[in-house]
Amino acid sequence: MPEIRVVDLKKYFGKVKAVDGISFQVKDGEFVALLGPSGCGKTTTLLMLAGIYKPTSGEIWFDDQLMNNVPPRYRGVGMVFQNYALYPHMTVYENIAFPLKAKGMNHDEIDSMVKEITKKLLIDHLLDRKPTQISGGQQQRVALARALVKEPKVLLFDEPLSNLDAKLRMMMRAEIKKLQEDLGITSVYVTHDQAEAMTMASRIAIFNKGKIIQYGTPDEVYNSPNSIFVATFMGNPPMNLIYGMKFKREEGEGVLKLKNISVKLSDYQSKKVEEYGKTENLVLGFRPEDVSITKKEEGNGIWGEVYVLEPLGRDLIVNVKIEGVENLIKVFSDPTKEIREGDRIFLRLKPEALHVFDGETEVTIF
Amino acid sequence: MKKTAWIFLSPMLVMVTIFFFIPVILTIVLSFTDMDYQFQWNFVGFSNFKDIATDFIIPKVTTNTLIYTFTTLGLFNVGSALLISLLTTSIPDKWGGFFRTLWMLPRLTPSVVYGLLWLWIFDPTEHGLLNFMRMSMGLPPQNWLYRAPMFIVVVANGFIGASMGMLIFTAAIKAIPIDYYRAALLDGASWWMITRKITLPLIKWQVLFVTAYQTLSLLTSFEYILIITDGGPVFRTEVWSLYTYHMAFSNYRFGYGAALSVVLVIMGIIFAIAYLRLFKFEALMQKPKVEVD
Repeated sequence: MPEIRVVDLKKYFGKVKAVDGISFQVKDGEFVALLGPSGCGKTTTLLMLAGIYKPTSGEIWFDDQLMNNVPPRYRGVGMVFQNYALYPHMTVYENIAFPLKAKGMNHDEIDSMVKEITKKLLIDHLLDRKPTQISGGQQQRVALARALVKEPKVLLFDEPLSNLDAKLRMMMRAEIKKLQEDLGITSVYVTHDQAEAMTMASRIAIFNKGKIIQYGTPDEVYNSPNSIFVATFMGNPPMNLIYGMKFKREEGEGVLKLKNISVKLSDYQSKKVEEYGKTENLVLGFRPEDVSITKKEEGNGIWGEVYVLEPLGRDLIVNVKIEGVENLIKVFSDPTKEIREGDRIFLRLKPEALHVFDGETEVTIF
Repeated sequence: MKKTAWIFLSPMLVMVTIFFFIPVILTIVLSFTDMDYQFQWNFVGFSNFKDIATDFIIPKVTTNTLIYTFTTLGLFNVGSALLISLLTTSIPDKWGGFFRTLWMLPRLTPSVVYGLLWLWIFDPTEHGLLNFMRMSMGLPPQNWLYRAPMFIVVVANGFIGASMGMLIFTAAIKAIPIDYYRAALLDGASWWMITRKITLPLIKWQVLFVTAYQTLSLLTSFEYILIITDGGPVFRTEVWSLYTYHMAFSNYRFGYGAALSVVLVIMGIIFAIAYLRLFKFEALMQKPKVEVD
């Protein structure tokens, strides 16, 4: 299976810069997710890998072969589309056989390959149905079978699960991941769902406005985001942010301040801020799970008032209003804990889980 | 609400009754009379229909009608329309739109002007466009309207008739989800395979509609033939509808003309039913059986 290397890839549609100079690498057999909001260029990138779109500039390499001018059919690429793109007038069998027919394979070969893949994907009882006569989940499997039957070296997924209901999506997520691991096909998976990217991919490229903002393992992009964009895009609910903080040294200790709020930083963190050289307009970030709620002041933290509760069964999301902070702070808590709306509570912050960003450039300081 | 709807619909109902249903009934009744310029309702039973069966012009008119209808249909109204739609949707839309606009121009021209244009192109004297071109190459002028009248009639009608099919087919092709084509391209399907296996099956319903509609329209329309050849020379382009017109309004045999038009309507109905069979209309309309798991 090839390694994919993309170098300074650009795609402009007239004046619209859909993809604006991205570079990344997908290792042999790796599963990479392209994640971002709609219109960020991730699907355009996928279509360039497939050969449907021609890049405006830049290079696409499969191993040591430059693919820019290679037509789609010679790229050895299988693709699963958002709406499955199953031909409505053909049966499931004919749909899956289509790529093999296009290759000019003989009838017996086609038959045995279709039977094999449909057996594997548990759709061999649907072969004579039309796509309109099977369920969404089954259509998804047929689309997968059609992409896999021609034994591609690269698999491309364009938001393949977004048309399924939540329950089925969770199920297919695991199945696709397992299938990809078993087959070891180099895969690129486009999604706008951060949970899908986190759970399935070994690395995630986070897109915004035609550029890759960060490329790393799920752990890296979640725990060490390089910008406010990544920090707030990953995680549900996203990272809490407090804007407009000032950095000061009080009795030798580094502190972030905003009105009554004062959050202590560690020596290492204080040095980082000083090295960065900015003391105003800083943004403090912390994830909802990196906070513990107490009734009295304990250690490093912020006082607030419970605004509204969102029980999730296993967890409880506590929305906290903090004086002087515009946005609500969301905190995960234990549902057995006695918290009521209007309670005054202390949010104790895990010192090592704090993030600070530059409020202007939105890049991470630490 | 129901009452209001009926009030709004009723004027049209009256119009349709006066201008469609009554004339249809009158025509059928008329076809059993030998009414002429004296406008007498003399009922003569089936004698008009017997006359049609023995009219020595009828075999020629029938052949002409079939040749005219199906050549125009095959070469232009469905054939060219399909080809133009397939080709113009395969190139960038800017150019596709340009070529489609060109094919719309005849439709935008008033029919008499359009007919006269063809008369000028095929004019037998040196002033005709084709003859002018021939003579500038040193060839003698030709009497085109005598040499190939049916061809001229078919071409003149076809250039106008292709536009409707073109519009419908193009719209249908553009409505096909683009991912079908992307998937096929990735699979290495050729343009021909994509056209045959994906595009054509998915616009089958529109092809059926245009074929049926244009057959009926070609069977009954004769204005361009009237302007260009008037059925001549010597009945060589006399089609059924034009013959009906000539019988009724040149020879004032209203009863016979009515009988001819009744037969034409029956022919149209037979063709329509044949198309529905041919395209397996019922299968096209079948409801999906979705199974939810």
